[in-house]
Amino acid sequence: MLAKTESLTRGLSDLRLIELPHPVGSVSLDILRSLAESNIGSIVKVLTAGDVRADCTLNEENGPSVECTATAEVPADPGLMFQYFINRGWSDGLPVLPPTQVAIDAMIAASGLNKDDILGVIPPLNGIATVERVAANAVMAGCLLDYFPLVLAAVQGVLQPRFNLDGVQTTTGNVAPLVIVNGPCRNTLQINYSSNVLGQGWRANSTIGRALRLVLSNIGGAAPGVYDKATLGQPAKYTFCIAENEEENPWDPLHVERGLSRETDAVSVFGCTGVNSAVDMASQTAKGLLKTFALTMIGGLTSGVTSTETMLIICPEHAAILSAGGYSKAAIRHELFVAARVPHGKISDENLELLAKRRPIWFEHNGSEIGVVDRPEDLWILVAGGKGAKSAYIPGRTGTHLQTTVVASRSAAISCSCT
Amino acid sequence: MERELIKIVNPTAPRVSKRTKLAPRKYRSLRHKRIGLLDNNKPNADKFLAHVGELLKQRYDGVELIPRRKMTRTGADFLQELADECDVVINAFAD
Repeated sequence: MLAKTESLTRGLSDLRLIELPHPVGSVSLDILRSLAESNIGSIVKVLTAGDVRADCTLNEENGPSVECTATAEVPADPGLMFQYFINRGWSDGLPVLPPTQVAIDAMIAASGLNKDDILGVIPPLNGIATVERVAANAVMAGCLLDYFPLVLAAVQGVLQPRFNLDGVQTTTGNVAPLVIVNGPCRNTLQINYSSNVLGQGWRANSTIGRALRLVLSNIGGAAPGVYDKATLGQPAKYTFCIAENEEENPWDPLHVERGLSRETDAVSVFGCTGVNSAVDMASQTAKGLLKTFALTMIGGLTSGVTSTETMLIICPEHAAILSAGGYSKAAIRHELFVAARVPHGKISDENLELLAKRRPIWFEHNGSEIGVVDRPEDLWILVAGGKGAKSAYIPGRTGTHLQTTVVASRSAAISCSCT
Repeated sequence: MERELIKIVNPTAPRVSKRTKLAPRKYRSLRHKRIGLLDNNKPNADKFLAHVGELLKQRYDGVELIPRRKMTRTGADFLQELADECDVVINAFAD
């Protein structure tokens, strides 16, 4: 199914595919051998086929765009309107506000951009993300006008090649984009970075994250169960937007680490899997706390599929203990990189074989353990949350890298910088 | 109110369509051909492709197998490398 979609959206409607029955990854060698034998004839046929077309070229070209209606008439009654959106797959399952032209125009005016400016093309169905259509989804999500530049920055972030949006949108993994806001706008827009920062209750956090989700589903066409093939999914796929608690951060906040000034407003996006609690109400020293973090991180080293980058969200009380212990972010990264490792003997043989292919550095020089990431710098460290001694560890997705985008001011061009 | 309608903007979007021609199937047989086996790094992909490779060697003289591995998206450089090194490529996809 995914292979067919991929070939269609890339313009190869006649690509020859041989489908094997799912699952393939967990079957025995005997079954694999018999699958090879029963399909070898078809494989040879699609590689040869005898249809010599020596004159054809491999040049890719854009065909006519697949249009959709620009507007629709929907029932004004809220209940009927909600059902209308549900029936068309235009909602995340929760009620939305009507994306009227008036509301969208106000949103666009707040950004200083033109409605037809294009941010990019969103996979898997190659929907064209114009400012107007992104604004329609921001209106539906319940965004205030002033949130819109942040939504645009988040969309630009996920469109960066190293975010690997194709994979994030279609994988069987349970990945969701985590949106992280830094800079003064956290306070002016009242974006929560304190108590319950990963939870509900704040309009900015809830609707900015939700706007990105609706953009990915509606413009990208990642219908759940159809093109979005997540085995389980996760609650963060509804919405997941946080701000960093820069006021109680003893170190440089994320956007400063990424080379921006403290006064710059920035949005980062991270392809996250589930949130793992790192609870430690007892340790009084940095060393003790880091032991707890390492144990939590080992738990996040899930079978075989490992993160390219991971994230630790440290609560202010834990950050204060680490800072008082003389730890910089670099020192924390180094210590956790060494401590958060699993002996090969605790990993299944099949997974070890897979890991040896995917993360070979842990098998060189008679290596006997495997770490949660390949390099210390692949661990992102944020400070967020309110009072209490609860931090969180969030593994990322394989092949997806955090992206940071400067939030464009009202008059700035759309080509704002991404790192 | 039940019959009242309001006009909204469609939150989906027009889609870019691409057209790419399939590479020509130049060969009537796989004899003496360089056959790329592209493992997408999912469990068992390499083993399945290895079986396919063995069967092709049994069926055709002079087959050269070229196993390759990739993670996530295939870059243009890698594609060109495959095109240069192989006459045909069998690509494992999904999981």
